[in-house]
Amino acid sequence: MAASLAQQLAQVLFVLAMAPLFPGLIDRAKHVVQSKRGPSIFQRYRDLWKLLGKGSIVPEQSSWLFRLAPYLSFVTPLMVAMLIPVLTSYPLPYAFMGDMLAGGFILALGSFFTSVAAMDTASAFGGMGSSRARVVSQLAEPSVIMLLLGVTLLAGSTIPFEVNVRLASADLLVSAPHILLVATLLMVILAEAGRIPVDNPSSSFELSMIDHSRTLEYSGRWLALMEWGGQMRFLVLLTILLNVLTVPWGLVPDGDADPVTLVIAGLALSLKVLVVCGVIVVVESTVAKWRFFRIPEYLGASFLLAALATVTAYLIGAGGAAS
Amino acid sequence: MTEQILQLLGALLLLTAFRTVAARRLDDVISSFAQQSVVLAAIALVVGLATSTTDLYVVAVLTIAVKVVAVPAILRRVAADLPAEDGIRSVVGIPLSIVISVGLTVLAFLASPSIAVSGTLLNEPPLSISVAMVLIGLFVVSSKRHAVAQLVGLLTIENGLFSGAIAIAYGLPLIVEFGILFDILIAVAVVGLLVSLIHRELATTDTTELRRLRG
Repeated sequence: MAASLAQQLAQVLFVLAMAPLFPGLIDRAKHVVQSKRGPSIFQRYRDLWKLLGKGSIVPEQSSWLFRLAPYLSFVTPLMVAMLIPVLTSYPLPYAFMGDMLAGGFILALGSFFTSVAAMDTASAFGGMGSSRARVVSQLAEPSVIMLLLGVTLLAGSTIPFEVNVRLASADLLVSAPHILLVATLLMVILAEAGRIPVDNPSSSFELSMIDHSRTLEYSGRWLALMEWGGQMRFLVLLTILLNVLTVPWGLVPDGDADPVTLVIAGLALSLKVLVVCGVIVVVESTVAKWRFFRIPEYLGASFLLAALATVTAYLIGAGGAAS
Repeated sequence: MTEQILQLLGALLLLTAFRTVAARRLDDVISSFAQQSVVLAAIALVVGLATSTTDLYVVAVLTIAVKVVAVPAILRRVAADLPAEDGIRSVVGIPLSIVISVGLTVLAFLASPSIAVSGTLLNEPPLSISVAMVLIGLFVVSSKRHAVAQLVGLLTIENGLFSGAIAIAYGLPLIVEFGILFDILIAVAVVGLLVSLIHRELATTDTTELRRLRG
């Protein structure tokens, strides 16, 4: 029991500690591609450290929502980290609090409060950012629902720890519906995390921002919590992509309490995330941000992939899930 | 393993057809057709390896030569003479076109199991994909208003039939394949010439403008 609690703690601490590293790596790699030197990969840690040491300014007109949102945006990814296989291949004591749907709801809750808090200050940019972020999430919703349907059809379960074993089994690993589902989730993650075809994360132009303009009113340690929360959200989404949907390799095997296996699992996950970060760097260095009104086409394409996956899963998975 | 690879290639084939539907520029339409043909050649090769049918290797090589190299080259040449217009117009918008194509795909997947030949190596999914390709090709022909895009729609139908023939019967007799590929080459050259002529006469490639028949 003590060992599994320690592993549970390790999962959460891993997400907490590693989250700022990957956006920093992406930044650095993008600068290198552009023949610049770029900031250190640890720059995000330094930013957080600096912000955490500063006081926050609260707009006079804002209500309790403004003060609650940073904590929710910080805590919700950590809660999801308890439900999914970050480091262990078997469910830890708190993993049965919820399935994949619950994970989606918890992440959406954090995002919802960020949007509400941005409108709470009555600043024009905050309201614009919230409404745009809502549009993007709403357009991503059909893809997500179709994705869950496809995954459930293929794996016959919505528990992440059962789904990953089923999807990585030999007869499904490189099958068409599985790969289409992975592509869908990657596209949705890019949209939800405000990466390039949808939103430019390094933009400083308020009128074109989507995600970033929701946190413009925050400062000091609350801004740190918001940013850290966003980075953890990104890492949690990538973990779902990698350890639930794609390649749950290197995880701690069932009942193993040896701390070395935890380190190996952490390294394996970091390596896999690095590969996805490489893909993101390539995308962001070759594709320009799309016009806002073309985002429905981008998310429509992701819906198309999910729909095709479901159609093909229906044919091959109907018998496959039962066997 | 073979079955999974074929499934994957089939899905890719469908995706390239969707790319044709979603394309805004002529370049995208032509390159999506070239990609589709690459996938088709790969399918012929894999089925050839799986069933040790040597004819299919020849078919794969010919497909590459005709549909990946020659036809796109002719189409690009035709497109280069046309002015860079404001993209390909379509009767319905692109998001709606994609939704309709998804509907057609679902229809194909629902309908084709009832006509699938049991006992072949590649039973249902490849045949469904071929039927879906034929339907999507028909949709491209009827919804796009650019003459070259309509031609690519026609070629998509042909690719669908071709992949269907491979799925059901492991390919047609080699002489028939030769005939079809040669036919396509001539047809594309003639239609390409026709498009250039239409454009010279009417200064448009929009087929809805061609309304009057004159003797």
